[in-house]
Amino acid sequence: MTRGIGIMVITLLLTGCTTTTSPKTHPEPSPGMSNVWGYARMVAPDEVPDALAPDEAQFSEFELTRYEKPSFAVVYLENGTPNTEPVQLTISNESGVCLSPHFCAMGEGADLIIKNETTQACTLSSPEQGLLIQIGPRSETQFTAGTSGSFELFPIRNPEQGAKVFVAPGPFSVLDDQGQWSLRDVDPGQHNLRAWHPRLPQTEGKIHLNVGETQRVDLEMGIGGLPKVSPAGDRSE
Amino acid sequence: MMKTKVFKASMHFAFCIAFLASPLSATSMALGKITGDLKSPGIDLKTTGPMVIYLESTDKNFEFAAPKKNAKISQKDAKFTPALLVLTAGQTVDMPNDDDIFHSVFSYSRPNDFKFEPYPKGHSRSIKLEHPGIVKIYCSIHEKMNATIVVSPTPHHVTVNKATRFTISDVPPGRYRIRTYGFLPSQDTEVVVEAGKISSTVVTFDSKK
Repeated sequence: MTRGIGIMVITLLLTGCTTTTSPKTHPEPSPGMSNVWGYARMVAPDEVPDALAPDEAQFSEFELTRYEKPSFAVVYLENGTPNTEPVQLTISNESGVCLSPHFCAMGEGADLIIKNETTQACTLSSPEQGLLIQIGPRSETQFTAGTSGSFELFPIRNPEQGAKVFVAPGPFSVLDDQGQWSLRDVDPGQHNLRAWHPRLPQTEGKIHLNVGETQRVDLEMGIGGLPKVSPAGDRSE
Repeated sequence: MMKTKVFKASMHFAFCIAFLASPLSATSMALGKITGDLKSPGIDLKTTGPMVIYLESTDKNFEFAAPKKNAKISQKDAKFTPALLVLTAGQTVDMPNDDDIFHSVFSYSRPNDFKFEPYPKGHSRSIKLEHPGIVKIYCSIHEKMNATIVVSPTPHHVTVNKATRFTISDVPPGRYRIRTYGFLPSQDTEVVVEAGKISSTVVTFDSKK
């Protein structure tokens, strides 16, 4: 298994005609273009002991990672033109000062609008972006996400209630509540397809899209590709 | 003869007192010290969370030895303690499980990425983190468990919490960049350390210009 960013197996579900579409959810691509869609799921590590049953009383107070439930993840192409629609984060006072949503995705070059719905000024910090922003009460501000990757934004008064933003370099899709993603009207040809998750290594693989094709690609995200360290401290890829 | 011996002893004693009182006694003879103010316009740093301040030599050929003593980050109540740890590149960190439940620690922060198989209470795992950078660690079993390890390129670092000043002692002479990690962005700052002297500096937390 290749080490590094946890490359997982990408399962290509190909029918004879490489088209498995549902007309209602996956319309034909525009002339000269391609569609790609699929499901992304988290994969639990093989080594989790059977004794770790989620319903055991001693574990119930600590939130377990629910690998069977779709969670926030972004599937994207490394190349191509991303969607640059603005994205909004809101500062509210629901449980102390907090940013919502907790996770969001945007395209490189898009504007991130931050709206303060509280009656107090709020200072947000993003060390990765090198930003310290002060937003007045019931005001908003915005900035453009210049480079792809993820960054965090923290309200200074309540840093545990910040937001994590993923900036995609190309066309992207956020998983829906069924774990499905969809990229429409992308350029045909060879692409690097990647999946980003806030707590798991990125998944990647190469796909080839033909003109007029709608292809299904299912993805798995997990820690299986990370180098394992033995109790003695030895690393194995 | 006796008077001579007493005189010599007195002189020796006086010399020791003078030595201890001199500025040079604030540091080892070949090393320097950095003291600094932490500033952030409009933010009371005494209300902010912990931050790591560490030095990066501007001389890429300058080699630093990692401490031989292991660092430690433990698991208890489904949390990592401490939540923010700084250590030196090449140093080993122990991760004992002090909880009553299994934990399974991993990180995908390249090139320090790793994973352990789940291990129970009373057991510990260790890993040497070779490369400077930020290492985010998680538990693959518990959703909310996470911590950050700052791997400093030099052994010269300090963690401050709700503070407006910092001190880093026993620093070899040379030019350094001051790096920070925490909830606030910092301006780029360089400092020159001279043998036997105290260098003063200011680290400002503000948007990068």
